[in-house]
Amino acid sequence: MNRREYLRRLEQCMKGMPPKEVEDALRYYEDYFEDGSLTDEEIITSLGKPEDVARQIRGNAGYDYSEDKVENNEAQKDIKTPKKRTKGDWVLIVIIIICLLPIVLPVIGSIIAAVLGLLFAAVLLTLAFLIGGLVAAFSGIGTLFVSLASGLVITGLGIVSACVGILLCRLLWYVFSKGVPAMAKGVVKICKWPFKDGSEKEGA
Amino acid sequence: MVFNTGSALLDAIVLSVVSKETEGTYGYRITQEVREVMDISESTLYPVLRRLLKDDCLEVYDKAFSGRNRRYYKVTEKGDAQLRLYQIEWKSYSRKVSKYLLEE
Repeated sequence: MNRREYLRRLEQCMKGMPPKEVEDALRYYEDYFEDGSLTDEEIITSLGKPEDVARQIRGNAGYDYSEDKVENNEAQKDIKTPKKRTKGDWVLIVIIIICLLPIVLPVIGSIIAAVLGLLFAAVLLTLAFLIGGLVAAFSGIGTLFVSLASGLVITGLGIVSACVGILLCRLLWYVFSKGVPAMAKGVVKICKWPFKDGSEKEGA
Repeated sequence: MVFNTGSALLDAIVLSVVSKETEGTYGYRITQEVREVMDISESTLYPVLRRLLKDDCLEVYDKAFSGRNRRYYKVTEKGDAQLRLYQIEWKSYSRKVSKYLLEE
């Protein structure tokens, strides 16, 4: 190998690096041949294989074009990239979903109905405590003039009931503001599940 | 050399070698001078120069020499400051090592 062949091989080994980087490196090694007081052969021997010289330039600290790194990344990509689902897989998924519909739909429907029913009952219960309590408290005030003791009991119980109602209001508010959106999200997630790729499942 | 030489030490030596010439100096000579101090292979120096250039510690310019343009490397202001930092660090480091190793 002579000087020209060496430099040409070095240039080939630096393929993929920014042109300016390649030019600068070649410039350096051209100068190196010119300035060394040795023969080309001696210099080539002392520099070592152009492949190794190029690897050192690529592998230099902070250099992102490192050959090894690129290879590693590709290797990792191979491991992480999930198998793309083929047409057959999709057909299978759709068939399974259709088969499961008669079972899944009533189950999901009854769960939703139950949850809605419970929520509705909770709202009514709260209203009952609140309104019943207030009515009792006010009617108790009237009773005060008839019988002090029963008037106080009715008014007191009414106020307690109203307070329970207020507390239930806060609880309901919490359930509606936090719980319901969370449930909705959950339902959406469940519906999306069959369509997910393996990678998303890993990440989730 | 028995001891490992980290890239910081190599950077420091290169900066020091280049800064000795106010007009700067060229690749082959830098390699030869660094090799007087450290046992590095001939191909190690270019990546170091490139790193120092990238960090703005060195700058290049071309100067005519025997019918061709030779590339010269010169220490920048930043490189000068970096070199002074290395000198201070080295002073304290080498003193500590000597203290323990040679029981001075």
